[in-house]
Amino acid sequence: MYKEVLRSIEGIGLFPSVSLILFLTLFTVVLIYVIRKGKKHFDNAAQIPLDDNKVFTNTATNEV
Amino acid sequence: MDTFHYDNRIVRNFGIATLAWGIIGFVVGLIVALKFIWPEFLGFIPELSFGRLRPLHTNAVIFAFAGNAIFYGVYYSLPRLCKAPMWNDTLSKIHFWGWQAIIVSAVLTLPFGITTSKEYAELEWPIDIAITLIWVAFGANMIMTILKRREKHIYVAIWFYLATFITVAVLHVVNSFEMPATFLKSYSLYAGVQDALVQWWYGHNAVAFFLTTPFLGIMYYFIPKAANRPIFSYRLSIVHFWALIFIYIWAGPHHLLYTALPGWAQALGTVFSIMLIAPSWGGMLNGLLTLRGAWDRVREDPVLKFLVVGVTAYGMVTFEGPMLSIANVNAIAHYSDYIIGHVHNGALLWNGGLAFGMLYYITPRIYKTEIFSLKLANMHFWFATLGAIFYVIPMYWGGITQSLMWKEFTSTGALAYPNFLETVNQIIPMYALRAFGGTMFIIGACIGAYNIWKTAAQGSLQAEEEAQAAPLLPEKTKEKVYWHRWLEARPVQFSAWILVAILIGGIVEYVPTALIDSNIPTISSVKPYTPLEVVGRDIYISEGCNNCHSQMIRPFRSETERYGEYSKAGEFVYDHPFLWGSKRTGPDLHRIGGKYPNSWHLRHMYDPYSTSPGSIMPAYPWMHKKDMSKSDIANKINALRTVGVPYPEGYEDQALADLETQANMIMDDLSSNGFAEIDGIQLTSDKQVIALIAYLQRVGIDIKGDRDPFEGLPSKVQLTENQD
Repeated sequence: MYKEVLRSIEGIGLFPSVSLILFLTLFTVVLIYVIRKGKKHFDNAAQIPLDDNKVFTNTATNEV
Repeated sequence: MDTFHYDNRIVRNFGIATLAWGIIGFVVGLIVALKFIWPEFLGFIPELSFGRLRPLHTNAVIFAFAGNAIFYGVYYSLPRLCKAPMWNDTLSKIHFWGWQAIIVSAVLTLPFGITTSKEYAELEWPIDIAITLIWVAFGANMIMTILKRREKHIYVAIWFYLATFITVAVLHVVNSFEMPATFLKSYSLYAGVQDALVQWWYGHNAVAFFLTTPFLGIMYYFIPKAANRPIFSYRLSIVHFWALIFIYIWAGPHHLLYTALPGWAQALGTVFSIMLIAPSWGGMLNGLLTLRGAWDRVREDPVLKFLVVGVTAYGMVTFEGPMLSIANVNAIAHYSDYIIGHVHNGALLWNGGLAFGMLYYITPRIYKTEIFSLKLANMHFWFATLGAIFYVIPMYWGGITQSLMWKEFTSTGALAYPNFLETVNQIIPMYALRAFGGTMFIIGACIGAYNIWKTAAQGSLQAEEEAQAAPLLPEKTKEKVYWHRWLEARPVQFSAWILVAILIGGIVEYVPTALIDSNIPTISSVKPYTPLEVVGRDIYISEGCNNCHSQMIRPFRSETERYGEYSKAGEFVYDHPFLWGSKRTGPDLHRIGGKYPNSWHLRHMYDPYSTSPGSIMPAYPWMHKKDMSKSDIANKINALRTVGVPYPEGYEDQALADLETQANMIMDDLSSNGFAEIDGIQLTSDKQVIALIAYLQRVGIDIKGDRDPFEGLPSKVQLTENQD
């Protein structure tokens, strides 16, 4: 019975593949982004919870 | 420099609510746990029967304990991360009191049998509307605070808070589409397979976006604070965040493996569930590795102890989750107590650990004092941890034992334990151990509450905490800002992307199933319920029968031998809501119809022991005394027609006559078999039990096609075939 339901939706076989590809693309893009930026780039952001008094400056000046 | 003040009163209020509701929720849990050992404990009080208290327990722990803990963490950390007070203190108060009012309304409805039966979404439609409004108040306050911030970058914890707000809003609204029949009774817009899919898309993601993402945000703030060092890897947190929210939303169908849900959706759910282990563990490791070089402090600091055990439990639970979603593991664990162990590992240690960690961190700080007693805090820690272990391990053990007994065959090919009760009685000692573990956890929580109260009492609340920060400068437009960094400074755009990420999963999974509506192979003999059966089904829902009984026979020989033919998608097309259940404390009921005579059900509901010696089912003697509700049957028929059940126009006027005729037929049958009274109680056709019997005798029999359910009823309606 499942197969009948399955067949009745056009292109159903593509759904799992499309979603996997979508996810892997997103994953790869984010991964490349964080690797290219390097660890230092994010140091200021990581400090935010710790410096309650200091002011975190615009990160644009820290671009590599 | 701007000078401004953080509002610590609202933080304190949410803290008190977390503790108070937490202990109430745990105690209700203990009461239902004791009912497994002493089924008659607090019996005969309808409001305190298992089926009604169990949803109260789950709602109290999820929405009252964990919910208030989330707001406690958010109202403390968000202003400090934004270097701006909460946008609007009145909105904060509306949020606080509104949320508490919703919890009180749950206490005032669930024990009285007012429920939708959909797990963790049991509250009826007026409360659903209130939840939506209060949730929006919370979100608006949060987003406006972020917009008014003095910190350019939005810290990772806040991303998790935003994802929580957006996703829970979507989940709650979509799952709560229902048609009111009366002021406190509604029918789900969805039926059968669709309702199940939407419900578990909601149910699973309630775990994801109510019990996971906000607590991850809390982890990303409080672990660095408590350890006084930045998060291990900020880069990992970015990957963690996007991977987690994107993948989580797909995993819902793993709650429905081997059910009548289409196979492709089950497969998709499994694949994404297994993938989920990567971001979950990435997050866990990020939290734990933050403590590199600071592990010695974990020995001394109760805050770190609770946080570390919490994050470790998160790691265990998120390993178990993907494993449980592998089909052949699921085949054993599903419907069993293993799942109860699994969720308590998460609730007691992960949510509980982080909540108590926060309470021990925040209380001394807003009261400008030290923890009252480190010794008591350590004691609390050990009671909580050991209590959870005593809870979880017996449930794992008992769950697997029972499940394997269900599946065992003798050498001649018959079920080794054909009597379901044999498998129940085998694991009663495990239920006793579980109650012991739960008691330990509660003792720990009470010690914690005392310690926190004493801490507050020895300090004084700094209601307005002064802080200073420079205002945000306008952006220097010439400099190039890369995309994610750009996004990190723009809460609205950021939220929009979160919405896109979660909607992709939701839409791909849900839309095809919505289309199935017209494509489900119709079983022509499946007919809508008669009015009396509708009333009986409402009683089944109201008493919470679905908390212990499934109505979904999986296509395994061990199940078809025990229960009968496996369940088909087409059988549920008129089930608003679906009642597949998720736990088999008692046997599956999908083929109960016609299995026993009416008199068996009558006696069984009055005293389960009389028909099933050794049963731990509570008795429902009030059903034999209370009259069923008939006056609103026309409204119910109308509401059901609105959601798609093909009752002909005008049938609502004939419904009452049909109802009474069918009730008299059942009453006549009982009388002729010598059951005009039971234990001195004179039965009449108006009693609730008559409607329930009508429903139970109807469940799962249509597929045989040998009986027209409306036969003999005055309307003699020819119901239209479901072809649209």
